[in-house]
Amino acid sequence: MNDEPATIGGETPAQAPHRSRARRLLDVIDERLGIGALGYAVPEHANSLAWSLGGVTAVAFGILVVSGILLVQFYSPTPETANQSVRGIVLDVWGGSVLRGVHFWASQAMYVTAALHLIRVFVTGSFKRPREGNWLIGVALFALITLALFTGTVLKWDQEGFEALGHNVEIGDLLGGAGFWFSAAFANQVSILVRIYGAHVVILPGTILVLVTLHGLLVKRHKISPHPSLPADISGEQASAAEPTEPFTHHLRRIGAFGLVLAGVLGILAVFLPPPVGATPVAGIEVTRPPWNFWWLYTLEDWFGLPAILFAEVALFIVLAAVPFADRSRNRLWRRRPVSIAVGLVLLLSILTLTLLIFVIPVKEHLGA
Amino acid sequence: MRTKPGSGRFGQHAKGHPVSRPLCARRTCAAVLLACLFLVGGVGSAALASADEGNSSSEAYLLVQQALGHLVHDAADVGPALEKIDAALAAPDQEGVSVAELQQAKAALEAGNSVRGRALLQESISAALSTLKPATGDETGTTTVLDPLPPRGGLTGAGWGFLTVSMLAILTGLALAYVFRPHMNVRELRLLLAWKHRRQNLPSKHERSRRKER
Repeated sequence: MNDEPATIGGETPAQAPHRSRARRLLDVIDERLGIGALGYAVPEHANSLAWSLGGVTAVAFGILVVSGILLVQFYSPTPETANQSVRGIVLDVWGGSVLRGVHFWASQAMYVTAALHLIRVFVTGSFKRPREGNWLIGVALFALITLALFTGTVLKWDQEGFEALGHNVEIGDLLGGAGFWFSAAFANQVSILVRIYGAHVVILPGTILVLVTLHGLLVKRHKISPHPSLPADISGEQASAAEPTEPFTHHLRRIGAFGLVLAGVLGILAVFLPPPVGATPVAGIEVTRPPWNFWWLYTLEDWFGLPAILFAEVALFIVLAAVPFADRSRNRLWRRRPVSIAVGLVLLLSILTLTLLIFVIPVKEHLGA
Repeated sequence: MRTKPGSGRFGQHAKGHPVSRPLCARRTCAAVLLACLFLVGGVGSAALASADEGNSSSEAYLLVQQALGHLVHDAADVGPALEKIDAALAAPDQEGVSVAELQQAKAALEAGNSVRGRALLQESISAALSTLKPATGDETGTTTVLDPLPPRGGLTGAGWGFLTVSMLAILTGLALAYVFRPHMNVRELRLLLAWKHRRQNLPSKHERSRRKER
């Protein structure tokens, strides 16, 4: 008979430190699922709001997925019924108006926080070696967010959404073979609305989810970039070992707090400023303006015609993708990167100016012009 | 000795003639530029090819729907709607459109009665709409041109409930963000790291006492 007392980690039960049930439960889960891997060290500077914007964007995405799953229960993606079903969600479904409002405002929040995150990463030089690949994934994510916003606009199938689709179809035609998916002729036996719906609820969120996962894994692999105004390690690629750290779970905790604030703000906006539902669409007229996110393109279209939308979008994303290859110096502080910061500023100001110019530009017909 | 097609060239390239980084970067830039030119050229020519495609419709019922669309978006300005009605009256394909009702609608609009004008316009195409097949491609599927949904009315009980929950979420989130705030801001971190750096560069206690002894 073994009369030696049972031991836990080399200690007798009496000697073992007292652990709460919750802690023991977490340990059991960690042993099986490895969630402890989330506790990796994050430098202290990363816990500020500016450095948590990527996380806030992810929270907005989560809200979009949940509200979107609820919305698809009531939405009908056929041209004859789509606009009516959106009206039904607003008027007949309990809480439907708020639900739709939360979805709409969460999409705006995701767009804005993703753009701010992109700007923060650019200004603090966080895209520099070895994080160039992750910058490209971020740029791709921003493009997908823009596409998701666009497809969401089309789904309400009102005049604004239909005109947006008309622009998309014509750009697809401009691209020739490369734009086959955007062409109505690609699958003429079904409505393009059904395909746009498929893209909005499956293809785009699925791709975003895959890329966000990859983005997060690469952040873990490369670690959070050093703050430009704090000393880095010898390689210049990581935060100094002397900088205090906190586990990533604490970073997540703070993102969760910001996310709660965001959810509350979205709720208030949804109640007071519900998104409009326009008139049922009519082909062959152009009487609306696009959502504000596309105003800068609308101004360019007004000046140079419809192809300007395509050229401007392609140029913007080429410039964004070229950033880590053009700005290769090891300096992260914005004052020591005058050229790239000046180019970035000019680009941002140009987009803002073009956006504001829409107020002085009359609504004009561009489609088929 | 034979090598696999392709792999030999790649191996030679990497071993025998190492390409310097600036040259490699220049080649990459050239490739990107060429790709852009190809895209721009392709798109440009496609744009030119499609530039003269018109947007005019020969089907009268579509033109009537367009007139309705204009009226829905700007009931005060009947000019664009009247243009579309005239085009519908002159259209070669008037199948399913009641020309008499269309003319009455035009008269009503000219007389300033846009409500009756809209009703007559909608009525004039009911025969054409009844024969429509389910929409495919980029067809609208619209039968009745509805007004935009009016903006929300006053707050309902559910609205107040959502507002309360939202306010609670904001307050809880703010409280948690304060509780979980970083221990140090960037300025404090800068001071701490500078202090640590200074302390690291200081001679050790043993060395200092030895210096004193000397």
